[in-house]
Amino acid sequence: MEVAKGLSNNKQRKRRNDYNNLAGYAFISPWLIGFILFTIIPIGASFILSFTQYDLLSSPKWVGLENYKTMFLHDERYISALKATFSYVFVAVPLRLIFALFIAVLLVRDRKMVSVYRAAFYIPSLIGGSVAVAVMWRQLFGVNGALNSILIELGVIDKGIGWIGNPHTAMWTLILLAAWQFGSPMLIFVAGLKQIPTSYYEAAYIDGANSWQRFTKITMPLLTPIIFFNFIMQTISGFMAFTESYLITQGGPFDRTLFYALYLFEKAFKFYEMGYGCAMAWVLLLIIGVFTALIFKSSNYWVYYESKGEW
Amino acid sequence: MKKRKKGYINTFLYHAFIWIFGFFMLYPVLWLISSSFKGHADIFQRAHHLIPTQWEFSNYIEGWKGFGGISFAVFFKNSFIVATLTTIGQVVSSAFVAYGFSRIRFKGKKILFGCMITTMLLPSQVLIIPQYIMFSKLGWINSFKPLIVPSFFGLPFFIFLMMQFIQGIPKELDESAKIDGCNHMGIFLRIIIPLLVPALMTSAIFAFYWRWQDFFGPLLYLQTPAKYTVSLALRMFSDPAAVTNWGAMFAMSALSLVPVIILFIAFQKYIVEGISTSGLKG
Amino acid sequence: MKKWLYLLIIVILVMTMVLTACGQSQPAKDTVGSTTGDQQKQDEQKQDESKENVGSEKAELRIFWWGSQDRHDRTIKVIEMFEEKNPDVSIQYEFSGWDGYWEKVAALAAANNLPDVFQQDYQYLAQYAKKGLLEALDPYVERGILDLSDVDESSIVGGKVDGKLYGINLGSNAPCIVYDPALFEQAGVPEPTPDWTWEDYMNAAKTIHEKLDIYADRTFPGGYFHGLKHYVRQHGQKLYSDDGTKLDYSDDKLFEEFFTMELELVKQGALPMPDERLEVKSVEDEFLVTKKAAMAAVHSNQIVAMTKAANRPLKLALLPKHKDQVKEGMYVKPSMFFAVAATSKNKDKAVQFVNYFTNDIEANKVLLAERGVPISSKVREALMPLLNDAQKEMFNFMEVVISNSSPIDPPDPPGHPEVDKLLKNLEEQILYGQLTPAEAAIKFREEANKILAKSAQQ
Repeated sequence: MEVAKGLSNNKQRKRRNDYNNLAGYAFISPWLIGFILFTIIPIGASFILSFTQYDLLSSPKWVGLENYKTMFLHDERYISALKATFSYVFVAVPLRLIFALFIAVLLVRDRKMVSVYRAAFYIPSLIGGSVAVAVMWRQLFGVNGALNSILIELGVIDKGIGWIGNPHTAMWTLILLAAWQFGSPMLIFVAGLKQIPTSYYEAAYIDGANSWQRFTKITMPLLTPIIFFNFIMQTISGFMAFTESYLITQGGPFDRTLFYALYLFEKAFKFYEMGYGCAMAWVLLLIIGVFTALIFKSSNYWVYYESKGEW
Repeated sequence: MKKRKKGYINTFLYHAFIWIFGFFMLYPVLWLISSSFKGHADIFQRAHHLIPTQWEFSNYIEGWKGFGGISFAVFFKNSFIVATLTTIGQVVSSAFVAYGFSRIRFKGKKILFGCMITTMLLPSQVLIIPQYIMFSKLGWINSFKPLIVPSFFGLPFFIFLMMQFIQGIPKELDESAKIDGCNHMGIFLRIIIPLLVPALMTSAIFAFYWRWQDFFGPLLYLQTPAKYTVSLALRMFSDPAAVTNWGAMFAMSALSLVPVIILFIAFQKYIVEGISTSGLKG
Repeated sequence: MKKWLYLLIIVILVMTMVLTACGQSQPAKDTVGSTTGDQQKQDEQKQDESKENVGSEKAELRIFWWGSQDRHDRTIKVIEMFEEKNPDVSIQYEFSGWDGYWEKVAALAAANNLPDVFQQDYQYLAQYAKKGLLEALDPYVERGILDLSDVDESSIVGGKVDGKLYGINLGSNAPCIVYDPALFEQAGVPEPTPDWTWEDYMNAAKTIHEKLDIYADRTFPGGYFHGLKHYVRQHGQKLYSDDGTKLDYSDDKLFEEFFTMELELVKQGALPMPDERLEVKSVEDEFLVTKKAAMAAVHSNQIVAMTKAANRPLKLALLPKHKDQVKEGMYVKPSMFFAVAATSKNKDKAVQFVNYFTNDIEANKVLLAERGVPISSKVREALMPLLNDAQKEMFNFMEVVISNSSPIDPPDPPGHPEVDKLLKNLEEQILYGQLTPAEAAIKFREEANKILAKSAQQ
């Protein structure tokens, strides 16, 4: 009897596994098909091209590891790009996340006007990529810009500083721009905060927890999956930052703000060295991959899931 | 009494803080809008004045005319078609995939998930050319297809985002639905989707905006001006060496923000209402 | 095999699931597909209709250019005029800003889908021509499809690569200086003559700065690149070797002298530091326009835009001569070209269009020298009465340039954009005191030669 039961259990499990496998693939099929149809070919192509010299105008020429060697051994600008990108990521990403979380917490309560406020804080992120932002940023940080007027008024400086073009401050204006555009992580935080069941707070309130305790004991732990998500995504997009520098500084002064993606773009489309650009892309993939993997690994220690996925 | 007074002060401080901070946040936007009403000389010479000396509505009229007889009405229409379809495609397909990845145990899941994350790590700049060649082989150039069709296959960003939200939904709900005889599709549609509304709306806002402001995709794939989108048309105004009609450009830039802001305000309501009204018992 | 079968089943499965499960209606993919499909069909129908209107067998041409709103409107009008005159040709045009233009052209080239006629720039012409992407136009000149009989050789030669004509100059201009005569007078500085020298320039700059307490100029004449090129040419040498594989000038002293002069003016405050220069991104906030400087380095066609922005009369001056110069540094530069793609299926028609653009008086009355001074002398004559003061200054100035110039160097080699960037970085490093001009000269030679050698390999 026991044996038979075990058998049927096994059978049942197998059937369930089959069903799960089928259902799993069915659910992810949109992505999987898209991946096979639209993504795999270009990605494969870019990998192969990274071993070639390819000027887009004539067929690629195989050069083996040449591009990778040049990158690390003979390309000063590449090193500048790495430096600029790392310093940007390490400062801008945390700043942006902190801003986003802070404002999200402020704007999550059901107060009057909150939805208007939320829109107000989100709007800056809407004009991020437009031509207008470059003109605007100069109005703020230019020699005759708003910031200098204020500082001169306050007596901090007596002559305007060109914040955007100065090698010591240029990066900071871009970091500030990134911090200013915290709209998308903020919105995700708001959505995450809204997902936390109010009953939890009510229970804690009854137990006499003050608002700080409620924040650290309920909000933070339950928000960790979202913090984790934002952290990963902002790190990735930080490494790939392009528009800010492209529109405002073009990498200058002398490559102090030459973001990795900007240099890659210059190489690929301005200097027509697509092969080199592809090689750069794959190295960047490795770099981001390492960081992403580290964050994923660390998530076991600090991310709390209400229901752990079926891993 | 005292407590109430403290409450008032708190409320006041809260709003005051948001107003001051909000002004700094919004200053550039106000600047953009005010510039769109300024005359040509005003825009640059009185750049830091928010109030124009003279309100120029002609910028809007001039700008709306567009280029070579194609007005911004056409560009807006194109943008709406592309952005709306992209949004629907991305949000719906991503929700399916997110459910599959976060709630179903199947073979090869880890590897595939890894693949998906990896695709996000490659800078898009190097994919442009192979993609372009691919789409031109398919004969899709000069149509909206390259902009729309791929969005029906999910976007890793949204998939991952929704996964994180799904993992915040208690598993017990699934179990009880299972007992009621629901299969995965049932659980997904009846339990997960209603609870996922905040994430879906967030994704929709992003999806719409990203496509709306995307410049490079339309630039590459659209050839006849009658198919141009707003974001592309906005870049047609300026040439570094020539006189640019800045007023018209700012006017159209400001106008191009309107649909996105409306969408934001309309959709973010659902972010508020998402889970709190769905009667979830912890 | 099995795996693919598995996959297929899954696809079918998901479709049925989407359509059936729990009976909820989904915004199904089909509707979406058909919507775009409809759109597509409508567009095709429109095209069909327009085709029917005019008749049978039409040669289709695609034309692509960059520019601003003004150029788009003018060019489109001329295209319509051409179509009217040539009912057997239908033209599909596209345009963009400068931003993104070259990226798109590269993609089009990579996909073997270049437009029949497209705008080309001096710094890319050689590269495209050498890769065989452009059609050599000399045979069309011989056959009389392209009429250059009213065009001076100096306006043609810039479009030649390895002795063959690949680009038709759409307007001549020259790197030069635009200045405000009123500010010169106010500072008591005589206006530049065609013979003014670097010493004259330096003195004028210093006096203007001291007397008026404004900057003399935004950048050094010609900017870092055209300025250096001019200076090297004055010494009878070239910046790039003819084959484009290395720098041509032999003496690093030239580089050093040139940037030492600039550094001197920056130190005295007569020129702004790079951080301030960077802020000028459009004609409207050019220092000359806002009266923060008395001069600006431009290409001559930009005077039209600048006068409009400044709303007061401005004038053009040659780049300074060198007192011991071996030859003239100035040259007639094509502002931009039309090139015909080698893959074009209707080359005769394409060239015919270029010819119309170049020689037709009515067409040029619409274009109105927006791309620079037209190369045909007949067109120039016909336009004269229609010009405003700034345009007249530009036309007259080009005559001065022609009599004070030497032939143009071969088009910039493929490595040029990267060398240009290198030079810009070095200039900034000099001005910020991170490198001396002598050190920068050596570095420039090293790095530029590397870049040029590498790009020549392709």
